[in-house]
Amino acid sequence: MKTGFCVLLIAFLLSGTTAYAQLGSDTLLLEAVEIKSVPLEKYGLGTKIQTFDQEQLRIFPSSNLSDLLSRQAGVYIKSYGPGMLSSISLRGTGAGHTGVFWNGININYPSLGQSDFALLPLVGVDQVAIHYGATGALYGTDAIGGAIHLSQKSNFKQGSQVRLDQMLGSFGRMRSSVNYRWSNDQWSISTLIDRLAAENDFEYINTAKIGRPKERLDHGAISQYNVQQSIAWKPGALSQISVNAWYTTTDRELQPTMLSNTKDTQADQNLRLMADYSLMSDNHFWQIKFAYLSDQLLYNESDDSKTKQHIIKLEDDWSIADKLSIKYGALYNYVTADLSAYEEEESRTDLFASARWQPISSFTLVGSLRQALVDDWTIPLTPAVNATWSPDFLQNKGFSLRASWARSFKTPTLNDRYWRPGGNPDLLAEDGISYEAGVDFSKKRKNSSWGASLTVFDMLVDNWILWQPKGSFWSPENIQKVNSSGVEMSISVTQRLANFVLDQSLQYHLNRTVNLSNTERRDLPYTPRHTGALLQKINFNSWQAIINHQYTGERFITADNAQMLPAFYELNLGLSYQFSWNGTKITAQANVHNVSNVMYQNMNLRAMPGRNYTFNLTIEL
Amino acid sequence: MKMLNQFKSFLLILLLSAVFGCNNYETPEIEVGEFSNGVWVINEGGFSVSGELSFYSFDTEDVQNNVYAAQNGGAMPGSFLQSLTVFNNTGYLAIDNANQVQIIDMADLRVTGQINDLAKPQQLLVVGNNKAYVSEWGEDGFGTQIAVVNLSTRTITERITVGQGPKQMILANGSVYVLNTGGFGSDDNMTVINPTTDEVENTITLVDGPNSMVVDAEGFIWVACSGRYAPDFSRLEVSGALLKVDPGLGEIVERFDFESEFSSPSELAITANGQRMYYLYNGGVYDFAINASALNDSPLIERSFYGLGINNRTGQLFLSDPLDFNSDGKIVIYSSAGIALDSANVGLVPSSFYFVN
Repeated sequence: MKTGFCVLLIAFLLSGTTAYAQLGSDTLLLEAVEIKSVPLEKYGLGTKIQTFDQEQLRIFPSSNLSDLLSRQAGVYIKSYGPGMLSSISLRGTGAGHTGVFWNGININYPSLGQSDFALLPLVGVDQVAIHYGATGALYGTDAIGGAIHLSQKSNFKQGSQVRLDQMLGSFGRMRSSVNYRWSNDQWSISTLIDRLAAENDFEYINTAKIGRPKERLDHGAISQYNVQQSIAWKPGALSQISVNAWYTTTDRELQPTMLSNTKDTQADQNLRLMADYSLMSDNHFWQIKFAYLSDQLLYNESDDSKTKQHIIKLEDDWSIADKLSIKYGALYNYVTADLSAYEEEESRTDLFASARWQPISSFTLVGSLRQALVDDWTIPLTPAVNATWSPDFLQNKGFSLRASWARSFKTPTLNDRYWRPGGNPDLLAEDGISYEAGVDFSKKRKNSSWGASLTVFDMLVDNWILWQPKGSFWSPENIQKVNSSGVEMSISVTQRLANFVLDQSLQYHLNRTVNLSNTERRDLPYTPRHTGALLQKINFNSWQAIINHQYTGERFITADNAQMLPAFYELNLGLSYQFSWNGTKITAQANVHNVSNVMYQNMNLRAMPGRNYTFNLTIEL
Repeated sequence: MKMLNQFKSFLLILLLSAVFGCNNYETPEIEVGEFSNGVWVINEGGFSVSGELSFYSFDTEDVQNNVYAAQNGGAMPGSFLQSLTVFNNTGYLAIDNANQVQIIDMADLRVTGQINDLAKPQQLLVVGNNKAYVSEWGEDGFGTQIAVVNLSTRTITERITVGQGPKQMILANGSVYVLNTGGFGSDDNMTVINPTTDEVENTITLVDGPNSMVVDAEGFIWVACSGRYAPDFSRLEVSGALLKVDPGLGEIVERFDFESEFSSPSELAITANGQRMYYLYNGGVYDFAINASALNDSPLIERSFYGLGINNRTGQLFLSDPLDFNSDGKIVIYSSAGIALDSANVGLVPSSFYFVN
């Protein structure tokens, strides 16, 4: 099944022309930003950052974060079924080893230490950025494999805009959303109401049962409401006050395995509130953020888990001289947890600073340092050093080089430390050391632009926490040592011919994650060595066609690598047409997912749907 | 021209995509011998990995794994296999996560039917002509019932209310004894049922968490109890115990308490002559003669195991080690004196044995 990747590659190579390329759409281009935030790459340079703007987020309308990451970034997402628990494995790390940030604040559940990507709709999100690798010095806990940033942006001077989205799809899938935005030169308001429902009663061939019967899933329905409100006010040209609220409530019937008929349910409620004040002066960019995060997970209507986080973050980005700037600040988080298994509260403080030094125009160096403290125990000091170098002889050819060395960490989750029975309060933080180097290439021609980037990395994570059987119950321990190394490649090409614009973007991840704790150096379960995605877009006048290939390689399902799931390949197609009618912009889009009707399992014994359809209508007033 | 090439390539991709239209799930092919002289190892499986059956042959001293899949066209039984009961060469496999008992022809391990509509079935016990009881933990793990099954129609005819989390059942002196383990909660007793009338005759109070029982040569029932943890799980507030129950009197006649605050006895098994018992406790395998006056201080075998079985013909001990619960486990065979004789790799989380000899 390695052929799946070969298809991606062949498809890509055949459609290309001569071998010249450039800085990809994944390698952030500095853009004009509103006053709200410092661009990630200012202090994150030297590492791989991939961003998806609104247009890219809407290529497959009505999708969630896990769809985006697997289809467009080629990142491996472990999914228990459509709309079911989905977690990320960045660079072969575990589900809790990626920080997920909403406007700069980590929204991973403090109890579980991870996010369910199926619960994060993209409607209302203006930009998604994947910051690969050990970014703990910049972002704090969890960012061992990387960080995902979801951001919302306030637009000014746009008057009033209304956007209506309606999606209908196979298996009772339906999404309706209304977004109203209004802004003048001082105020910006956005209100979003979004509703998703899906029966998920898809048919599949039950390959695990005798006679491989065709069955229909009867327990996988989803219902989600998603409400967002943001208000931004610019009292002057150099300051901004913003308030953001995000509420989602999701009820799910949990899809059982193909050999079970259990009827478990899960209800999640997430309320995220944020207020921030930003102030710019000649040399300073001050920002203070207050956030309140309330997450509730109710399993089978009886097992309740409630956590609350109260966060203050203060930072200043100070341009000391032309060639030198520093960003420094502090974050305080008071966490309370009220679960069926335990009640706990704790304070977390982070002190951090980064310095960016550009002695000559072709060379930039960033050093970062973070100290996290959780109640009375200390997490190791977390440093990072990153650099980019693009000397003239390389730059003339479109190349630039980058490198990074970084430490990262993960505070043991509240469940790890306090779960009764088994919680282990003596756990140490998980501790990562990572090296990476990369080369970026970009070239613009009259009718085409090319971008490519190649990254190699090597990472060692020590004190990796695993729950182990201990007497009559399970208990977590810092017992595993893991090495992950690999190569990430991305190539993007935009070509223009007459009225056609062809856009292609190929992402490929080669990765091996091995457990060093045993002599056999086995792969960690669910870390495919190959994943890839190819997105091809053809624009012709008001038409757009989309071809999306997605490949996930073989992966082991148990620690001893005795059982393996086959690789799978998915093809998704889309066709959209946009027109204006009485000043109203209307976009209609039809999509076919899993075109070749592949019966596959992403995770063992979890059925996935075959060929299915969605139809979208967007009206912008 | 360039554009044309690109569209050609799109076509190619579409064509190639069709190649992936069928994903092949391979059926493992195993040469299966006669299942006449050996032991079945029941591998429980895990949340997202099915259980399986392995067969260790006493003739070849070799193990065959994934026998169920091999004999059933690649199909799998399901997660959390709780027990295998064999009656008249028909096997009854209780599959917790599938809410089902599967009926198997033990000669070739082919599935011949199912008993459905169960809730976390733990064990099937044949109690009469075409009649069986199935202990169930209920949908939430706090169930208090056993199902009465008509074996010819394979349907549930009624349910009998017992204690919480009924698991092991034995038929002795014309009565059925049901251990109420507590399931996901706790309970501390044994229900006695008349299998002719399906009426509950008695409830015998034991110690918290009864987990396994055997009948000795003199007709007494011995029960291993897990005890009970303090609400904060810091220690056992009721320690583990080994109890001798007189089924006639319906009460405990002898009680041995265990010292450990964290470990308690489990997997109680008895030799064919009903004179010597074995159990797992505190990282070891212990033995105990039925007329002994005190528990043994030191283990016969110093190694932590998960499941224990005794070959009635040879007296050999079969022990299972699930390793990290996320890798295929091992079985280790010991002489009755505790000397290791052989070991074999089996499936995920081996937990119990069924001997055929």
